[in-house]
Amino acid sequence: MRFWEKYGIYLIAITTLIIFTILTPNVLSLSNIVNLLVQTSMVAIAAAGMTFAITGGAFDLSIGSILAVTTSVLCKNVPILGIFGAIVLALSVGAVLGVMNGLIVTKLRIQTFVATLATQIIYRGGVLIYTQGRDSDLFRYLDIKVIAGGRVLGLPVPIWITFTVFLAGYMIYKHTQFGMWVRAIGSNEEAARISGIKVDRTIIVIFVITAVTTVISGTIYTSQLLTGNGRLGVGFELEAITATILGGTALAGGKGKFWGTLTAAIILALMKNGMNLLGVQDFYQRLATGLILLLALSMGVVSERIQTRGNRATRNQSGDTNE
Amino acid sequence: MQLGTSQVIQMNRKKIMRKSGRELGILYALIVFWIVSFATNVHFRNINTYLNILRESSFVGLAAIGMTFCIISGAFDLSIASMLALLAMITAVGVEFLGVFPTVLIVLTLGMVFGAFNGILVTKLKIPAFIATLAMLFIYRALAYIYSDGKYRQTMNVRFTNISNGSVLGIPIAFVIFVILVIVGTIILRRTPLGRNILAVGNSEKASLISGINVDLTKIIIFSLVGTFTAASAILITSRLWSANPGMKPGFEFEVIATVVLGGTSLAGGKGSVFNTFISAILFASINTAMNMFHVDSYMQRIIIGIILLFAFSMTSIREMTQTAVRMRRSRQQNDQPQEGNN
Repeated sequence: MRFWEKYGIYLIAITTLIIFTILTPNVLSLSNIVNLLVQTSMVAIAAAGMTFAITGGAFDLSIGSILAVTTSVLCKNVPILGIFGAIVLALSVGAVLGVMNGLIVTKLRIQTFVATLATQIIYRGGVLIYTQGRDSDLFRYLDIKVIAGGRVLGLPVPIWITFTVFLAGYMIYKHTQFGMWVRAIGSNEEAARISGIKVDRTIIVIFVITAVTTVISGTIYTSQLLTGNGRLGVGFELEAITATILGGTALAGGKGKFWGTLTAAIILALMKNGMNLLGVQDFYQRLATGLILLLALSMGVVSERIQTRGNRATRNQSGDTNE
Repeated sequence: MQLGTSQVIQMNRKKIMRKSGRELGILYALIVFWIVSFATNVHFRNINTYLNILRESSFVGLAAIGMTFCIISGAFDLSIASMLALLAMITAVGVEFLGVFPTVLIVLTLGMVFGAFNGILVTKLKIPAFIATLAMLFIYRALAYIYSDGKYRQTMNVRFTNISNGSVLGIPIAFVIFVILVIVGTIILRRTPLGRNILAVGNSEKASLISGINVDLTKIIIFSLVGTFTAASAILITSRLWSANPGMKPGFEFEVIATVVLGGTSLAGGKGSVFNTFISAILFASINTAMNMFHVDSYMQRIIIGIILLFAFSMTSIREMTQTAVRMRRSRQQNDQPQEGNN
């Protein structure tokens, strides 16, 4: 169990990589790997924020709508404010939406799952009204392509951004008071409250983080597609949650795994990429995504069972394993 | 004097019945909504509008009955939208080849099997319900696409399409089915050992386990109930649309969860009623209809629905907060009075 919890995700990553390398050697070509990592970056960055949320015992289902907000805000405002100004604006809008999520969760005392479910609908409606349901594009402002297509030291910018986000996320999680508070709240909110942690404020900050990371993802997305509309990003929250949970972050809270999240995001992109190279239909790709999620999640239990069977002394304890 | 077990059970049952009787806020909300709509909009003075609302409420409502059990037990089933698409495809194909009655039986059974499979994942592989059903969301949807090869399927069987489009004595058949199943659901929840076990598991899984309830089996049955009711919903929706397609109804699970929660079923588990879910489904359909009648912009409609949801979700905590405030004031007054007397 311990071993699986710690290294299982890396084993899966290596296994998938080996399987796809055998099936199509093209997977391991340098250009494909770089391409793969760029594809990963979008889900991965939002999943980094989601790792904070789930560690703190919260879900953010509204990020798909926030992604749509980001693309629309960028596409409408780059012509007016310039690239930098538009990105700053998008980040602030994201932060405000995050604060709103946080306030709704903490002040109205609604569970995060349903609160963000409602705000998901509200934000989506808002962005559709803002864009009046129309697409807007940036085909005349190609400078923004630098974010998705530019290279620094030979590596595309999105890879650098992803790496920075994860490094920063990991540092905040491990080495700051805020990180400790998030873990404490995820383990036991009541205990955290009693021991003087500012629970409400921490939860609000968590939602700002998920929103802001989503805006970063959305910025990369916009610069790839050069279009924005209110219908983008449906199901994006599920992708980010999938990556986070597959990466080993405990659903019950209190335990986050940043590198696991990143690895899981890469695995998901690798599977998509490998199956595309193999010419597998989209239908079967979805099936595979679901199956690998189930497999990864049940492996922990299976390996635990095997260990318990081997060790009779621990047999009695298996009855009261807590979830 | 000690009370016999049967007496205790009877007392508890009475208490539960009284409690569920007290929580009829949603019914009052529906009545108020109808009265206001009746007064302000001319279309709401037509009986057909109400019949239509009842018909539309059945489709989400049926699946919501199953989800009520699930949420009472403290779990979610996120896979039902995909399951619905798969079952609807099977229905549309089956009706053409096998006829109405065998298809309905097969689809309901399949729904039960799919649900039971979800349940086994949750109980035997010990994957939390949230992610197990999240994974199944991908899998059922993929199976729907594979089964249909990505194409939609039409059915021209009038006997079948009559189920959702026809009426009996002026009342939509779909709604009659809905009402019957609501009664069945209420009986299951309130009058059977299974219902008692569901409530117990929702209250405390550990306590239920210790008191000898087969928690795993109860959960598997709950998920197969969800599957069965989703299957019923799939049949009615296919019948209503005369067709099915593999990408249909994305986000259906959220609609259903919202209906259940608006009906006052606690997300923390252990509390809820099928009847309130029933009323809540009708209220939702009424709101949707009213917004169309008032020519509310379809984008604005989403915002309104979202705000209604937020309001509904915060009702419990608002009620608690006012209660605590009242209680605190009362206790403060009681504390103050004797002190004044002493002085």
